[in-house]
Amino acid sequence: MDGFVSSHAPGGANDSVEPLALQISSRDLLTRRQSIINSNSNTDEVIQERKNSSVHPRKRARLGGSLQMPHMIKDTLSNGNAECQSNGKSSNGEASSVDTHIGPQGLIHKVEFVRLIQQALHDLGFQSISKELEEASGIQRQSDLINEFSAEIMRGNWAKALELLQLIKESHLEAQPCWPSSSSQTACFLILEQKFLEALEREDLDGALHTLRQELGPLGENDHERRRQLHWLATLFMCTSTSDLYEKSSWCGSGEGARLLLLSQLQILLPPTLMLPDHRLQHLVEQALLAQKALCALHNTSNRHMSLLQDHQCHDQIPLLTSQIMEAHTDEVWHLGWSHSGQLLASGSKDHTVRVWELQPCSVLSAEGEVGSQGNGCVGDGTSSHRLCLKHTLLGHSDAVAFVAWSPDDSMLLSCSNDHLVQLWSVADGRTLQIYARHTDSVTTCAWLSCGQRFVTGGFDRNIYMWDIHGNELRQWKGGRINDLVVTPDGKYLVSTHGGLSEKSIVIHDLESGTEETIMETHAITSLHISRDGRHLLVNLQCQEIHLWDISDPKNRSPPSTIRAKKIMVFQFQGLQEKHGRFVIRSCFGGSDESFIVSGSEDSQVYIWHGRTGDLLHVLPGHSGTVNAVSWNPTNPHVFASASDDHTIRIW
Amino acid sequence: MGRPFLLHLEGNAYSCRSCKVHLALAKDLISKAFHCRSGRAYLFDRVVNVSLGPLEERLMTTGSHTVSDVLCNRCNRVVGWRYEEAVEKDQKYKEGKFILGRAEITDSRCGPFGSDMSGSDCE
Repeated sequence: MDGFVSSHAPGGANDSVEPLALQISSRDLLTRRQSIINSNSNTDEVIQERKNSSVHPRKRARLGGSLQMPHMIKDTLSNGNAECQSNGKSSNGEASSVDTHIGPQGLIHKVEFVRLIQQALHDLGFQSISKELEEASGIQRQSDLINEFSAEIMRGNWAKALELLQLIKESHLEAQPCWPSSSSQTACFLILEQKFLEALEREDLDGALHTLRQELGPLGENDHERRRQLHWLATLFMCTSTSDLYEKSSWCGSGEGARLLLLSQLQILLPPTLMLPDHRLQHLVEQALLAQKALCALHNTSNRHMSLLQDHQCHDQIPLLTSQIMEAHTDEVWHLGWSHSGQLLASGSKDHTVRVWELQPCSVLSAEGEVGSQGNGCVGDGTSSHRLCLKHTLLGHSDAVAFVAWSPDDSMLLSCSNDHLVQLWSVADGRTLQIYARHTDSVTTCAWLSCGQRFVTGGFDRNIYMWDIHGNELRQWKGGRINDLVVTPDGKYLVSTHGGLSEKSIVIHDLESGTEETIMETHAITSLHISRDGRHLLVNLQCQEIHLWDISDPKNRSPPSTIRAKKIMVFQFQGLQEKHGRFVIRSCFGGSDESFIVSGSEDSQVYIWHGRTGDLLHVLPGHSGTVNAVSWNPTNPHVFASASDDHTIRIW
Repeated sequence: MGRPFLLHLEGNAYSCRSCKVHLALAKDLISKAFHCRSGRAYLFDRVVNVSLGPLEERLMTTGSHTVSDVLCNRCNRVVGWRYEEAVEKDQKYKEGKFILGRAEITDSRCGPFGSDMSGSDCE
């Protein structure tokens, strides 16, 4: 930064211009319409070259590629020396077209844009450059009054600041008739509050008292909030020392930091045309980046950095090829799930077993499981850096295992089976920790509560039980035949399918208050899945559709009778003959932002849709039997697993 | 095969004789006066837990009809058929409805004429 200001090479040799140009490009300045011609045509061309290639990506995209600006404007900063100042002044009158709006679509207000650039420069530390820009363009970053006002606030001259505030208010009242007077009052209040607190800090009790009584008092007359605030401020008199004061009021002192904070607060109250909102240009650029990210249909990366120079578009981020096939099971695999750490995978099968697999580096080729494993069961392609190897085979159920669930800390595993039992296993050594035998019919599903100590199970015997890990039964609900249930991550709600007349309803139980709410679906529901943030619910229906519901709480908690869930999207499989599915198919959210919906299907393929747009993105063949369940790796967004009737599990 | 998803019907329901999976509700019964190759048959409005076979043209006592066989989802036995299309106008009322053979189903009631496991007809 310092090098920038001091490189006063008049007429600029090329290499002193290069770094300048680089810095310009990194700031994405689109050129303004005013043309300021530099006497040095050499640097002129070079700079124009760089400008051409480093135009703001958003606008470049709109132009469809090559930018042909009729007037390439040289920034006063491109030279950073006195020469340009005179240039700027002399060529002010040469502004060729005085357009009020610029940009490829003419949406950008020129004056505002220049002010934002000045603010950005100012924020980045180039105050002098910002000033030069102001002079050259004739556009002020902020009116003098405001600049004075900010200066007074920073210096702590509260009386002057208040005066200026009045002046500002009056002078702009005609221009901004919609500026509410209450905000000017709030501004006064804030300034006086700061004055008061600083007085207290200095232990100038008289001054503080005076401020409180004479100045703050009248402001609090008609406003309850303010009166309360005033009373609270009065209590601060009891503070014995400055550190006590800091603690009690959560105020950081009278240093520059606090005054800057005050300035930000005041800026929020003043209309934005007067006093520019902080970091506005950066805010706008980030908005653009987020918009690009939202548009990127295949976005699936955990990398947060996005380049400004190019519109963001992901390619090849979704796994499309099978990287591993695991054949250890001897019968249909009905359910599988990754552990929360993404390192382990558990699968439950019709062969009465649960198998736990572990991701291990490829060099450990012949890793065998510890407990009762028959053969490696891994078929790796050797190019992946990790392979899943069988860690445990958990025997103990006497009938098919329908569901497996990892505890939040991944130390325990639950398995639910058609033999009416729920078993709790220890992951480290594969022992059975507990067996829960209250259900009188097949147990179809279970869900952990986020504390890791309790979990809920449901089955065909129309009961839902809540248990703890030591074997105690805590609660019981009566419901219909439960096909599936989930618990929201905040532990407030239990969502279950209700075997009502035709198993088309979903019941949301409020775990704290005990109330229930029912959502009706159009067809019978086979399975449920909830997103990691608990806001979306994926419902698989027997009619071969998947419905996405938004079950987040509305801002105002509506009475329990109001249905607060909304169906957002319907996803359909393609090309299936049977309109009535015969099997329980599970689906899940996928991708780094859970923006994809992945599901298995009776036609042996894995379907991937885009969650926001509903488009079917990929159909992945490979299995030779119905794909019963899919699970996306929570820590590695490029890996997912699928379980199928062909006795195999595939990793993609 | 996957974990079978089988609906469970509330109330009086007819089930598959061999695998006991629920097939139809008693209140969906339209008529008991049908006959199939193995004996009597009932006409139902709605049947669950079944899948349909391919379409066939069959000549019946009442005329030529296009039907598809109905198979139980759990045990894959043919339990009846569904009328897809009827040629004669007075047979059109049957279209879309299901026939379940009496020999293939058992009802859930325990009538005074015998237990629900009996093979004889019970009214």
